[in-house]
Amino acid sequence: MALNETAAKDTTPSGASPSRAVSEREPGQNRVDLILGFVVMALLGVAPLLGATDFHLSLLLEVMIFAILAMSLNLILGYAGLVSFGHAAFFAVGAYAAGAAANQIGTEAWISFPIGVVVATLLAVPVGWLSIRLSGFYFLMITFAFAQMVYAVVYRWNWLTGGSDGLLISAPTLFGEPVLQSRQSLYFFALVCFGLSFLAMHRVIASPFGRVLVGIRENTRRMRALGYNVRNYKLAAFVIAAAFAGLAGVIIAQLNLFIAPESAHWTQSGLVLVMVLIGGTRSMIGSVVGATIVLLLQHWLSSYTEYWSLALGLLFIALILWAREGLYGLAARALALLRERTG
Amino acid sequence: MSEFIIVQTLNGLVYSMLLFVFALGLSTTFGLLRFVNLAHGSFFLLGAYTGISILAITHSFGLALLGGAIVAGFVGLGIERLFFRRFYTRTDLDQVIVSYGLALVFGDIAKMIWGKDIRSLPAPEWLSGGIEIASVTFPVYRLLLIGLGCVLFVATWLIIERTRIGALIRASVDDRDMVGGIGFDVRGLFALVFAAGAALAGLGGVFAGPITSVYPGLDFEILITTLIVVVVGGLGSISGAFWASLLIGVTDTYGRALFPDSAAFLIFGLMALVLLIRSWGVPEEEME
Amino acid sequence: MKPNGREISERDSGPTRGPSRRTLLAGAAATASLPLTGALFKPAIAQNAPIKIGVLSPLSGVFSSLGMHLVNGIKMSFDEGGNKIAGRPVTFIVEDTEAKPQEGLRKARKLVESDQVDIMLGVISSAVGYAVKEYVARAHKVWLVGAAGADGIFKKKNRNPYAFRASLSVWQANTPMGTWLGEKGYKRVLYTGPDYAMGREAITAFRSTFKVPGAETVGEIYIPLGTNDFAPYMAQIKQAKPDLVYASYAGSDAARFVQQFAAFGLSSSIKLAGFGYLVTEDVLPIQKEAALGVNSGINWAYGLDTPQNKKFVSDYRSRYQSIATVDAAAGYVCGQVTTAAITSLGGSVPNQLALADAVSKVKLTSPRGPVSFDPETNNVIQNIYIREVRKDGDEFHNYVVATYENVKDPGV
Repeated sequence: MALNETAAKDTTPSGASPSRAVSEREPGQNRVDLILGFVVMALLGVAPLLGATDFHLSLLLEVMIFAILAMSLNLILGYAGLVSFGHAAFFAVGAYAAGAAANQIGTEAWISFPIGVVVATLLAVPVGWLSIRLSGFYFLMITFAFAQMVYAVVYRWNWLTGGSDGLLISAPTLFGEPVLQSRQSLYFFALVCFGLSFLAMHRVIASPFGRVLVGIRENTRRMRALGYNVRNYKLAAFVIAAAFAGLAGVIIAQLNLFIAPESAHWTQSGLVLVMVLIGGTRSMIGSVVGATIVLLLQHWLSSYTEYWSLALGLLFIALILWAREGLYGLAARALALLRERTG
Repeated sequence: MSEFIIVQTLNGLVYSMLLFVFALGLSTTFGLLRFVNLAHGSFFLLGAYTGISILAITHSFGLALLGGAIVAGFVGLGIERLFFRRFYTRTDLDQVIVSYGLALVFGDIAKMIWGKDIRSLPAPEWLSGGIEIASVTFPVYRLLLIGLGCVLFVATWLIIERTRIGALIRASVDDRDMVGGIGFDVRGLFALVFAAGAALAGLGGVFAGPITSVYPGLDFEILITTLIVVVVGGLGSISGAFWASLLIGVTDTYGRALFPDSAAFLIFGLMALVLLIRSWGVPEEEME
Repeated sequence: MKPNGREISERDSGPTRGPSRRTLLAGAAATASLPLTGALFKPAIAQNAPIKIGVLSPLSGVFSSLGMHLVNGIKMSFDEGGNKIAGRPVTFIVEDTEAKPQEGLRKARKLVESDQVDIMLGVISSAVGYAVKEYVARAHKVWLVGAAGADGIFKKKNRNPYAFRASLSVWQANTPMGTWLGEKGYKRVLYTGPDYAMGREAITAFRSTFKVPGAETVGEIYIPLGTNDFAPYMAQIKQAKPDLVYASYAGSDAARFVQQFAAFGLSSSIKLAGFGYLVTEDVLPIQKEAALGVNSGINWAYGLDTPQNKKFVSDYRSRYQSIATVDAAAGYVCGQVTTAAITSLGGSVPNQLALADAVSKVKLTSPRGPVSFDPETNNVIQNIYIREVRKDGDEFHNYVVATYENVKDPGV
């Protein structure tokens, strides 16, 4: 079977019909997304004031971290149509780079944090450039292969990464003073990052660049015929997504003050994929909701049963069978039904 | 030095034949059905565990082999009929997620039935000996595997190239609508091929059992390597799967023996390299 | 047997209904109010309130069978005391680390911050061990380690008052083997193990005490991650012509290595020895004859001939229909230490530092022999046994051939 063989298969990852035009997405949808985003940010903002314990804050912190990660994957999956099975590698690299920088260069946050993001972004350039040459199943496989290579390297370079034992990370400082040491302060830092990431990604998808991405997903040939350099657009999206994944990694490195190879494993990438799908690839807030659901579900399920994998597997199956467009799709359908009923 | 080469090549061949048995099923499933099945490792595990149970009751390795293949085949058939066949026209992503979900479910069910401890699947007594080859005692069982793999390759090749069913399968790979249009039961064919692939995986599980032992997590370990073989060999090609198995099997064996430091990295690097080589020179337009 | 005290909840299998925009917002508000309800319903702590014991163990994933034995051992120890310490009832909250630090830390936070356990036990994976040790130092919670033997986790320089290791350090378990085998006259040694921290540390420890004049190292083979088959290495090992092979494998690697070592004819001419996990009770049923005569070193042996151990082993078998393992013994010891420490405080845990102090003073006799803690590193001081695999009816077990008493990890 040739690499370009996708006959008889629906090429749009969201499962929607490929005949939808490029910018059919109403400006209203974007606005709803944005509003919901602000609502979530507001809720997150007041949570500590409503009596959320340190533990609740740590859960919400993880939610925000994975929300950023899921949104970044949504950028390439939902908007550019690139199904990457190796996205967690950039997440882990961001954490490792920030951690190694904190340990080796200095704990100043304004040095180590950007290093984390920059290294993840730089890695995405060659990985993306090579991977973009393929599409469909082969793109999936090559992103998977690259991610496993990252895993193998991280596992072996003990001197830098701690190898199989993981990496203990020195706590961050700012001008010599310890910073972000309390759960609350880290929480607000993460909230700011989350807010900025959400807004930034929103700008991206609402911009002409974002609309071109959607166009590429819906009908690549047409975009090429229109004169767009499809590869460059895909690469740009891939690199931007990796940057945000790296940011998520930097934050989790501060929460745990630890990072281990498992965070780069393909199973972590698979989990992030499902987060995006659960939310629905048509909305950024969906990815936030998806991340919340998967994270909390995994946490609660594993407290009740050691067979939480089975439950998770059933969730994946149910998702694909009955809620292919995720919560967003269900919400849209329910809304449409409501509109019909009320005339 | 020549001793080293002889022994490592033999080891490589054994590993290759094991890989071939697993990859064959996955490759044909993908080639014919265009279905990405991440639950392929689960059939392997199911076969192995079934083999253990049958062995415990009947003490016959032959029956264990048969049982493992049949049970895996039947489960595969059931999964295909009730479930997977709805996904043939769905996207790769859908198939990946749904089969991954199924693999997770299978994995936990296997844990519930057979427990979490490592289980052994011993080879029959009369095959447990060794032969002196190049001053190393080489287990007879492994040599048998080499033979079996070759027999399997020839048998499958013959079936595909020389029988009517094989012709149908080949035709369906090329143009399934036409075959259906002529009046053949293409769906039944698909079910058959899928079940055969699952049965092969189950058979492989029992064959590999004496070497790898059986434990939770083995399904995904096998799956990863199989995916590499299938990608390198070309999806849907039987001879491709055979030669890729040989390449990966022998390279991996030598790689682990000579460069243990970078073996894990190299094998994925090889996979990425092959993917890229294939794509080189193919103009962007044809990639979609 | 369910490893945690909770029931497995019913799974609701109705069809999913999507939320409308309104319910989405309502749902978000409800989620946000969770913390509020948590604050409203804080339980009062009374004197006869149960002692809460948090257990962190891998119940799924790679180490799940070890984790299961660890939890079994812990539970059995408390069961024998009627699940009471000094009259106060004991409750468990068992959480799954999946042997992954990210998840392990999340569960540790839950146990410490949300469940507010009085003490935390467990952890098998060394990676999780490194992560949790730093966490308990910040969170001020006493933690008894159940396995996690990496040398670096408990050193003098990173000692904190809250973390104690009741299991072993890799160094502790392997150095006596070096001394013991050093007296046996082997001259050509080949080292082999899995290529990650534990595998290398075990061999380094062995070599530090295996100082035999005239002995040479004829090979060092570290197996890369993900190797399913040792065949490529058997020829290499044979070619190097060692008279002793020291191996640091564990789990399925150990099962395969020992099996294949025999299958490739190496066991007839080469002595095989290693770190205790090479021939633990959970892999012996797979290795069978291939493991006969293999010597290994670790802090316990199935066949350790003391009345307490005999009782431990037979109780374990009748309670769990399973053969006791090193991790079960470790869990049992964690339970014993906890009981002893809290009993010495009269059954109450006024604060974590007092508990930590009580733990550090514990000296008791366990199925493994004497147990106490080194104040400089908080690592356990215990006997290390040199064992030998022998056949016992239909089963294969480890029996003690030498004992090294009160082995302490220097922690440097």
